Amino acid sequence: MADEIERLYQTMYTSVVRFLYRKVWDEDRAEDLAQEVFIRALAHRPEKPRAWIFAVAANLARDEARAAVRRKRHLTLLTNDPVTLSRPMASASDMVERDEQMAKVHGALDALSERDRNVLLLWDSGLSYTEIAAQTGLAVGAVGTTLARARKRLVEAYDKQEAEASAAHS
Amino acid sequence: MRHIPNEELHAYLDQALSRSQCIEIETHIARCAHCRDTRDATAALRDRTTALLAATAPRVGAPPPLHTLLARAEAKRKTSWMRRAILAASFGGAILAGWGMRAALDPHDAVAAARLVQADPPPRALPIPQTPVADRVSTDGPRVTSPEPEQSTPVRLAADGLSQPEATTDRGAPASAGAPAKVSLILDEGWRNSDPAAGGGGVAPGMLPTYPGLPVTEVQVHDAAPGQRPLLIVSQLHESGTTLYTVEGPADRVAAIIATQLTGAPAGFQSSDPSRSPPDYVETPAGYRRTHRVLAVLGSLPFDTLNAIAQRIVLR
Repeated sequence: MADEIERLYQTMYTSVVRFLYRKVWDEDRAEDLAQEVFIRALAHRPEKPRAWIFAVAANLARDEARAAVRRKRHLTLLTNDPVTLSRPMASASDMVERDEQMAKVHGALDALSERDRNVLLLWDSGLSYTEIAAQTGLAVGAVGTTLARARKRLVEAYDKQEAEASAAHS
Repeated sequence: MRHIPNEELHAYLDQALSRSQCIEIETHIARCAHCRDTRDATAALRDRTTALLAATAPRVGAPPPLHTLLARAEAKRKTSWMRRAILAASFGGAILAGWGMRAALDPHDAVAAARLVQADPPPRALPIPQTPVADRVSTDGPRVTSPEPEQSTPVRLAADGLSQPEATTDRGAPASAGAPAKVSLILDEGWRNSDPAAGGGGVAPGMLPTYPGLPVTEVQVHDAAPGQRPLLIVSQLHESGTTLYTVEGPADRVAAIIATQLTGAPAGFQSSDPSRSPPDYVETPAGYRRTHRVLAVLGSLPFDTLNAIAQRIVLR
C-alpha cells in the first residue's frame, strides 16, 4: 500500500496541486495542502486512494477557504501573488495578459455553483465519471449533465467578462 | 428521430460510456447531421473549457522527496502526542490541585487531604501544598512550599562534537526544580558554529531569526547552494533557563531537523508549528524559482508558548 501511495504521489502530485490551486488561488499554499494530503494518505492507507486523495484535498481546501475568510487573508494573497516574480523572462505585456486571463477564469469559476465547480475541477484533475460520482454523491449519469452545464456556464461567464473588459477599454 | 442528449455527448467525448453505447452513438451520428453538429459544438466547448482551465494552471515543480513528507508527518505526530499528554497531565494536575485546595480550606477534610497528598504526589508542574495538616488548617490558609532544587542533567549528546550552548546553568544559578532538562541538538555533518557577534557566519545580523530581547548564545550554519540563504539554527537563552532553538530554512530541511530532534527527546522538549519565513529565490535555467522557507522554535516549553514565540521571531 505504501508503494501504491508513493506511485500515486509521483503521478498525482501535480494534479492535486492544480486542483487545490483553483480553490485557494495561492501556489505555495496549494503545494502545502497537497503535501498534507499525501501525508494523511500515508497515515490512513485508504482502500481507494485516488478518490480518497481528492476528497481530502477538497475538504482541506474548504477549511482553508473558511480560515481565509475569517482572517481576511485573501487580501494578503492577492497582494503577495508570486506569479510576477517566478517568470522574469516573460515580457511585461505577456505577464499582464496572462494575469488578466487568469483573473477572468478565476471570476468565471467563482460564478459557478459549488457542485458544478467541484465536478469540473475533479474532471480536469483526471478523475473518471465513476470516481467523481463516488466523491460528490451524484449518480454516474448525473455527472455528464453537471459537467455539460458547468462547461457551458464557465465559457459564458468568461465571455461575459471579456465583453465587459472590451467595453471598458473602448 | 430521437437526437442524442447533450450530456450523453459530453460523456461520449469524455470516454465515459461503454463500448456498446459508443457504437450506438457513432451509428446515429453517421446518419444525423443535427447530432453531428451538436457533437462538434460540444467538442469545441469541451476543448475551450480545457484551455481556459489550463490558463490557470500553477507552475508546479517536482514533488519533494517522499521521505521529507514522512519526516514531517513524524514530527507532527510527535507534537500532537506531546500536546495531548501535556493537556492530560495539566487536566489531571488541576483536578488534584483543586481537590487538595478544597480539602485544605475545609478543616473536616484536612486529614483525608493529607492522606491523598502523601499517597499520590501531584506532578511537579502544578505543586500543591505538602505542608503539615496543622499548617493548612490554620487561619493563614494554605502555604505552598517550593520544591527542592534539582540539577538538570544532559540527556543527549551532539553527534558531531559541535559545542552546544550552555543552556540551563550558564548564568551561575542552579537550575531549579521544574526547569527543563538540558537538551542538545543532534546535527549531521556540514554544520559549523558561528560567532553571533560576528554576524552568524556571513549572515547579516538582521537576517538571523531571533526572538527580541533574548541573548543569542550560538549560531549554527549549514551552507546551501550558491546564492541561496543558508540553513540556520539560532540558540537563545530563555528567561526560564531553557534554550530556544530557532531553525530556519527550506521547509523540507527544517521538517527533517525537527523530526530528528524530537525522536527520543525528553518529555517536554517539543517544536512549534512551522511557520512561513520570508521566501528565497534561486536562479534556475527556467528563471527564478521561489523556495519555500519556514521557521520553527524548539525548546522545553509548552506548545502554545513555543508557537507564540515563533510568531514573534524577527527575520528581515
